Amino acid sequence: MTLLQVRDLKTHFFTADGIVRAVDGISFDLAAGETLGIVGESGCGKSVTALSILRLIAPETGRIVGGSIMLDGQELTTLPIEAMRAVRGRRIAMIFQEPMTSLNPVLTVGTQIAESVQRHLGLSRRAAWDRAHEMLELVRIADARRRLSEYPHQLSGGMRQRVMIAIALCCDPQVLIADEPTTALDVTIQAQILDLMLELKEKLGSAIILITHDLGVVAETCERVLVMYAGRMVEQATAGELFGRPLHPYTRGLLRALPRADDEVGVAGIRPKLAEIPGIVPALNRPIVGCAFAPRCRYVVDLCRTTAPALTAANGPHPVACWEAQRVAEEAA
Amino acid sequence: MSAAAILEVHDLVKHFPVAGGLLQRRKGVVKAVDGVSFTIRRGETLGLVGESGCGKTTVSRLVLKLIEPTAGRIVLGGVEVTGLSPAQMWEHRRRVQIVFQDPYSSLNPRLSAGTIVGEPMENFRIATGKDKERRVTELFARVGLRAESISRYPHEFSGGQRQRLGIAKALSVNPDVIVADEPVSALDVSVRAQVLNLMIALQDELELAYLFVSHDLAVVRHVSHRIAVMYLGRIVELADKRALFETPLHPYSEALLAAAPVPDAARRKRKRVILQGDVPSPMRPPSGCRFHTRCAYAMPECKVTDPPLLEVAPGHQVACLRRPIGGDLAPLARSG
Repeated sequence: MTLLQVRDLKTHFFTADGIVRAVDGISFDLAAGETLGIVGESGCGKSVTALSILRLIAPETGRIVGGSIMLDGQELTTLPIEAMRAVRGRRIAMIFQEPMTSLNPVLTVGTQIAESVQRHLGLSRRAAWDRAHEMLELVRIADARRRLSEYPHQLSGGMRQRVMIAIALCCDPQVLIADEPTTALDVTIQAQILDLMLELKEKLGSAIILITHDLGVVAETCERVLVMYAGRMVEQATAGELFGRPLHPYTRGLLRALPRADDEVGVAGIRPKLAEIPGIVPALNRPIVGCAFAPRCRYVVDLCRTTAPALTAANGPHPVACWEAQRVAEEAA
Repeated sequence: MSAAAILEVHDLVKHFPVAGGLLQRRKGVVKAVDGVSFTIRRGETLGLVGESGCGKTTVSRLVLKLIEPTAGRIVLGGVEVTGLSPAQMWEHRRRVQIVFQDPYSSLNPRLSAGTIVGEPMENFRIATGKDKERRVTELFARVGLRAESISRYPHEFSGGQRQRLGIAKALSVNPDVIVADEPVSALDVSVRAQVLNLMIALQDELELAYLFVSHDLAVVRHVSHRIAVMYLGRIVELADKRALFETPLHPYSEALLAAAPVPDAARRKRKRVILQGDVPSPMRPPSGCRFHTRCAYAMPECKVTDPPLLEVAPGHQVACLRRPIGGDLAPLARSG
């Protein structure tokens, strides 16, 4: 059952250098209890997609200029701001990358969790504090009772991110959006946090949108993946399909550009050349004609430079936005 | 690769005093680096991996002599450089150069790209005037920057181009050793491959020695010949990269390798040991083996005895009481 339905979402920013088309036609469905990964490099629009779903785009800089976001049949893009506040943190919760800057440094951990449940669930102060205690135990913070009255600076990075998860999950949201939740953490702590998120998802039944630039994290946690480039969708597939049979030249390029920790270790001293994607991402403050990846693509044909391909499953086993998908797939096989 | 070590580091120690309280009295010391030894040969990359606070960046700053060690020796091309006066140090500075993590903050925004690369040549009296200009043009071509970008300023370059500029600056004085501290961590995947390929090609061509510091195991594995794993100021394992990845001997190395996410969904269900808890404070490192508080294989003795770094197989050093010389190199079994 589709819980969240995003259709042709467009979020643009209006700057002195022109209109920045940060998100330019994104569509996806999220089913209850599902984990969807949104991947792409800096500036591809993945975070703006998340902020748009929560309607957190600062109106003085940009706005949603088109498309629809339906949560359980309710349109969010036109929802009055008060009603939207009841959605944020209650039905859709978010975890940010940097736990140190997204927690309030002058409030105790307990206050920050209790605040959310008091507001959204109407619990008394006492009940809210008990709920906060329960949540800290759920995210496996040792000595939870004492930690409730501590401040964020007294916690390690991993513990702060556990607190963020506790705040996000304390009102049983239907959707949890995690924007680079482990990027600031060390790899052993990252493994702990990802494990915890997946375990709690099973337990609480929330759907997760995981936004990351790290293809390894996506492969290990997500069921389905949406790949973005320059504000547009390039490919959508199950994780198994995407990593096993990537179709878009950009996705293929990304995977081949990665030094991998699992492949056959060569003879010491021999270091195979990594596949490069030539060039850089296009500037978004000018309209992009044709496929955004065309200038860097080795499969480019004339059509790519004039007409942007739509995301379609017509040319292969899963949806991809590429005129030459057939040829790319054949060459790969 | 020639056998002579260009850089030797012996028992390097760096303690930082910590002041606190109203009167800023000395409260203790952070043992950032606590007895680290390694060598790097010409043309070789030694990867240095570990998590935040393990001391890897302090090691790189010590090697650059940006800070003085508390104890230990650094030998550069046969000359001991620890304890040299700043004036004596001058001629050795040229030999060790750095490539920084952040290509945005490590270049002077008010200097043109040509000046950034050319100025060090004048400082070290390597080239001036027309000769310098010619060398700058050559270096730009070598690192893949267009000649017309010589007169541009750092803000006009992309992240990847800035890192190329940082590499050109480091190469401008013909160094022997390059310390690269997370040189590709700030770059996107598609650009990262370009910079790594460039660094490897330059190394092979110029016989540079790299001390490559990173938290990213896949990147370190790709560029390194040998890898040292650090934990709380110590090297816990040092081996050929193949040996390290195929048979990690230290429990921490094993956990670190297992925790690194792999971009292959088919491997998702693999069994892995997830390390519990956080890294202890380097101000109060645990007694005995510093890793025993998080170790799945710890024995009672690990709480009391600090294991030395021993060579248990040719070229493979490990600091673990369960890995004695002549011992079994098979994976450890969990102690009860």
